Amino acid sequence: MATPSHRRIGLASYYAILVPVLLLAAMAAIATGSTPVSWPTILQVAAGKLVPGWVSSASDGDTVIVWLIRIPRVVVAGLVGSALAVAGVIMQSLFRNPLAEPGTTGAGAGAVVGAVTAFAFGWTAHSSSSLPLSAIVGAAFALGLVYAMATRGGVTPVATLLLAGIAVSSLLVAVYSLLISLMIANWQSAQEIVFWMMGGLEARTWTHVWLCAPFVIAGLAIALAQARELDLLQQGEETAAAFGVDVEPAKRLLTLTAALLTGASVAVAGSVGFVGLVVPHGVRMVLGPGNRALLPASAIAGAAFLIICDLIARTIHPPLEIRLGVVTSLVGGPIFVALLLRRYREFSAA
Amino acid sequence: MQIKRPNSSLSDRRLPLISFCLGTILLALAAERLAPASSLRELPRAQGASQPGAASDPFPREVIDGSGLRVRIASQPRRLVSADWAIDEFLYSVARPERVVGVSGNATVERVSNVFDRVKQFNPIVANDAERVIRAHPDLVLVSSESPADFTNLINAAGIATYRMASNFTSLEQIEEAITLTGYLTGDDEAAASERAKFHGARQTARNMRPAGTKPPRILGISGGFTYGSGTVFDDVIRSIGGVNVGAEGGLKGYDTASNEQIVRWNPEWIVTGADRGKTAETRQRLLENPSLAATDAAKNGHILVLEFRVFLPMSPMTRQLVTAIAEGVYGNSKP
Repeated sequence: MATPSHRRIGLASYYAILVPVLLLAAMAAIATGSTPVSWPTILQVAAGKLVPGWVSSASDGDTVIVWLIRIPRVVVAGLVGSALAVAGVIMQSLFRNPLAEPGTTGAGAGAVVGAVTAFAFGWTAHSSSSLPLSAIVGAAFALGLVYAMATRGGVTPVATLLLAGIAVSSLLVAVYSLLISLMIANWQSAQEIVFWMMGGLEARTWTHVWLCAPFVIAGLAIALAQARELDLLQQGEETAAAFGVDVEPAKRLLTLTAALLTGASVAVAGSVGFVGLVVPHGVRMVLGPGNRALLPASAIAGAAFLIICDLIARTIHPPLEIRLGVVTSLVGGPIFVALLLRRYREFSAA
Repeated sequence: MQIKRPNSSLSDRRLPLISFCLGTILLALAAERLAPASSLRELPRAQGASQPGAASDPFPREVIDGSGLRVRIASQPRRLVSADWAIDEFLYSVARPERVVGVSGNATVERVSNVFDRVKQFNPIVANDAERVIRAHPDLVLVSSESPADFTNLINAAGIATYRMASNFTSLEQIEEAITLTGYLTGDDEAAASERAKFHGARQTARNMRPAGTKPPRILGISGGFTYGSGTVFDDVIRSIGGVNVGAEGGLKGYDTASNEQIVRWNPEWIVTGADRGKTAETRQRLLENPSLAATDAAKNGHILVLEFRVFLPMSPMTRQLVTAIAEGVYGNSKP
């Protein structure tokens, strides 16, 4: 259970450090791109768009670059980072397994199937929203399948849910592998798919922001509202029931929330690994296991983490962009190992 | 402690799931609808084929692109960007190289690019990023039929004309038409007519190379584990030089896989494939190590034609190199 005594630093100190980190990361990401844009120009564009009556002196090109290319990209990165981190917190608490991650319920694989279908039918060339919409439908379908498999007599045991998630994920991996192999002859489409599957935020626009924001905001709100139930479920279903938690509906709602967050993220950013694994771990080590503090703190840390990773992805090897999923894995992998080793040392010392 | 186990019916149990799925779709659709005016929207679609007008048409010119969108080009474009490998070669074939201010990433890869020298000399940007393209201040950006809508919408939002060119050609005639179309788009109609004549001439020359009275050579094209069937440019190349495409003859459609057994049964007289620059001998050796290919007449008679990828792969005006290379390879070695 969450108590301040589990915390290495206080909540106020945590936010005093992390909120400026998030803001600085966002500002650096907006200021950095493949072509130079000065700060006064960025401020002009922002003022022109946000301040009623302000007439911006920025050129059309600068306006498009700042307002339609860079800012939506940073916003999408923040939303996806928050969503994956919160989904990770939910899954790890619900399954009481530190290796559970947002894709555990099959929503990630379902979203990939939806997206690959959109590529296969050529929808992505005609509409910006076809890819994320297909991915969201795929994620919803996968989750429905997992729940239908795992639920018997109105009860969904967590272990069965986990196994059904793994089984459905494997099945869906086979489905999208089949789709890719069928269309590999069209190298351009195959290249698009492979690139998308490595995760990335290039050419993300306000359309993507509006597509994923409702899911992410709703998901974060539900997760926060269910923080107490999640704390109790972390202690075991029987304990939670003893404390008055209606276990099955709570589990269902939390799983749906995690899947919603994951599906919306994969829909707009492709497969981005390690965020849902490493961020909750790191924040839990700092703030302790209480979900009421952990959920919003992880959301902010996830947003900052992904914005920084995206900044690295597009600046480390110009003019080419490294795929975002590659960067999150390269950054997140060693961090995760370091966190595990540190935890092991602490456990051994105790 | 007994955990609460509600005794719900099957339909009760599935109702929330179905509701969730439907709700998710509706929410997503609603979100899409609620996107503000500043977000990017596709232009209205227009019906019609992508046919250029007459060479004498003055600017502004209006054309329907490969996805049915009406594109208006106000004046002759001075700064051109290509976002596709094939389109790079179309542009450089008709427009002066200094006007091409952006090319695809493949144009900068020497082993596959036919325009590498010009790219090196004139240093255009690599058009893989919308921001960089906008900064290059192009008048016209040409993208392929499969370029993501996200990219083209951003370019359109900056007020830059974008034309989606169908690049999945299935015949040499389509490539010829695309040469004329490129000239119409860029205002280089005369250069395009000249390039088209050169292309057509290469086809005629190749056809005339077949010695009179000889049987049409049976040719198999393979690349990356795939074989060329009917409805491919390769098929048309083979037919245009008076040969028989073994893959199409065997019933393959498009770019598809053929089993080793099928290849043995088809027994082609010639095998044509591609290789990286400087690796043709190595590629030929690797093909001969495949027992199925080694069992064909093509392998037994040394009729394996390995062409550099920059000759073998393009679907552009440079395809004339492929036509010529196959005709010279096959008929240059035949004994009438």
